[in-house]
Amino acid sequence: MNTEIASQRRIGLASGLVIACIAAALAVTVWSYRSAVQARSVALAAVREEATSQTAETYLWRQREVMNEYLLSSGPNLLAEARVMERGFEREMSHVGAGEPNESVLVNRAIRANRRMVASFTPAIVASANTSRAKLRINAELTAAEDGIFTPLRALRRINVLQAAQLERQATGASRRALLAAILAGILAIGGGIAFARYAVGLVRRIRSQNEELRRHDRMKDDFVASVSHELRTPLTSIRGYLELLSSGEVGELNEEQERFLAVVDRNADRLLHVVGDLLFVSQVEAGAIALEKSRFEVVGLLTEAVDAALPAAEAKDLALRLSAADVAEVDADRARLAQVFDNLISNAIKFTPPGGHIDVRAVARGDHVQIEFSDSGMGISPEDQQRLFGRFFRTSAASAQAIQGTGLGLAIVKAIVDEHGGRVTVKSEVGSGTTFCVELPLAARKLVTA
Amino acid sequence: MSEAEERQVILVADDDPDILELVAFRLERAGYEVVRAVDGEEAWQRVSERAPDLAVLDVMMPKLNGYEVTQRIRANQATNGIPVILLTARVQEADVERGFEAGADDYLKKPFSPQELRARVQAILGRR
Repeated sequence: MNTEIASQRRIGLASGLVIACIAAALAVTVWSYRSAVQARSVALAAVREEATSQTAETYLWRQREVMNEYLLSSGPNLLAEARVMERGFEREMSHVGAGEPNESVLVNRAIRANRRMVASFTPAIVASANTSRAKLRINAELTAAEDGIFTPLRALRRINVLQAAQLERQATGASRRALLAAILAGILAIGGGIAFARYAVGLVRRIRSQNEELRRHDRMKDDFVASVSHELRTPLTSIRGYLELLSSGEVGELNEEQERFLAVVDRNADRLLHVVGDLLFVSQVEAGAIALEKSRFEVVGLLTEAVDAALPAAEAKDLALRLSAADVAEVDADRARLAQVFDNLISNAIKFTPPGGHIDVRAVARGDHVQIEFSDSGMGISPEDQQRLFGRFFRTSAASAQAIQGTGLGLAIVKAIVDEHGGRVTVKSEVGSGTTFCVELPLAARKLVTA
Repeated sequence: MSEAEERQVILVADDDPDILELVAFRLERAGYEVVRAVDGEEAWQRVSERAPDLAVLDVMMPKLNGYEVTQRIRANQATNGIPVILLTARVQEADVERGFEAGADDYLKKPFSPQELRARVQAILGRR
């Protein structure tokens, strides 16, 4: 019982541990996968930003070209075009560095520097520079102003490229982690499953060997009972044989007292023999080794014999022993075994009924079976005792209290024999008013029909 | 002594001296001459020496058991007509069957009544 609980606890613990490990590995998988996806999407954003800032730069370059052209030819549309390019640049730049303070600073710096450059490039200033020397100076100023724009732009691109590369690496690492964790979870699941299966198989094997052990013990016990019975029979043979020689008077006449004493010895040897026989029978029942010698006979005939045999004992105790039987059909049964059943039940009734009482044996055919009742006006059996009545070595509290002789095997034997015949035995009793044992046996006719 | 010559001879074999004595006493009182043996081997030796009119054999004996002695008696030309009664402390049907298979004529379950044994012996010897 204790090992069973310990085993259950161990199974619970082991399965809990394996499940926890698998759950942990799966959690790591999910987390790693999600961080990989996140890193990849951020990296993608960085790559996109890098592309956007390139587009912005293209606008800037074209703006610069238009401004140069304007410087040379002062075409009326060129300044407007430069403004379009400026707006394009600002629009593209507005998509860059959103939510990242250090990038936003760079973006704003580039935008402001460009605005300053564009603002300084007014038609008036361009018109004032009518010499090529003056134009070259303005161009040199513009180039110097450019630096203010390109420096933050370059820094931005550098940041984005590095960021993208780093995030890419992160994503790769995270996905590798996810894969490893998933593999680990799989290994744990398989390993845990195998370990669990091995444990379960071991457990089943252990339980089986324990059962085997128990059965072996049972067999040993039965063998022991059988050999003890055998060993008891040999001395009993001598005891009863020599008693018989003495009582026969062949070795000298006995006086009345000697004869009476020898009768006591004989009666007790007889009792001992019965106990040995009962023990052996019960051990055979346990071993499943009782074989019935069936024949077909009239059950009332056998009942009559049993009642007749018990009459002297009943009369000695001033008990009315009566048999009432309608014409009951035949049974296919072991006559000697069934006689043992009837003898046991009748002698029990005689034992447990106080003088002056009555014992009624009734046999009635009911459908496909015969019902034989043994009712007495005896002391009765308490409900608790009734439950265990047919168990081996069980003695009712009343029997023990009143020192009524018996081994507690009689009813176990009755039940074994009746069961073996495909019948059943039941008891109804009320303390103080009597007991009725009912034996039901299948009738022979029914057996023919079913066969 | 001529009367003694006419007495029928019965071999009794049992490893329990008390039972051996009990059976021998009963049969001697009934007018038979009894040859005693305390184990299976001695039983077979006495049977082959004396060719008794009947053998009463205990089943559970040292050296050779009652079944084996019975088989030897049946297997031997000179002895195979000797009736055998087995004494068995076993009560299972299989044991009884085994006794008859070995060639026994009758069996008695222990504990048996000496009177009954005498009656069976007389029945078998009277038949012949």
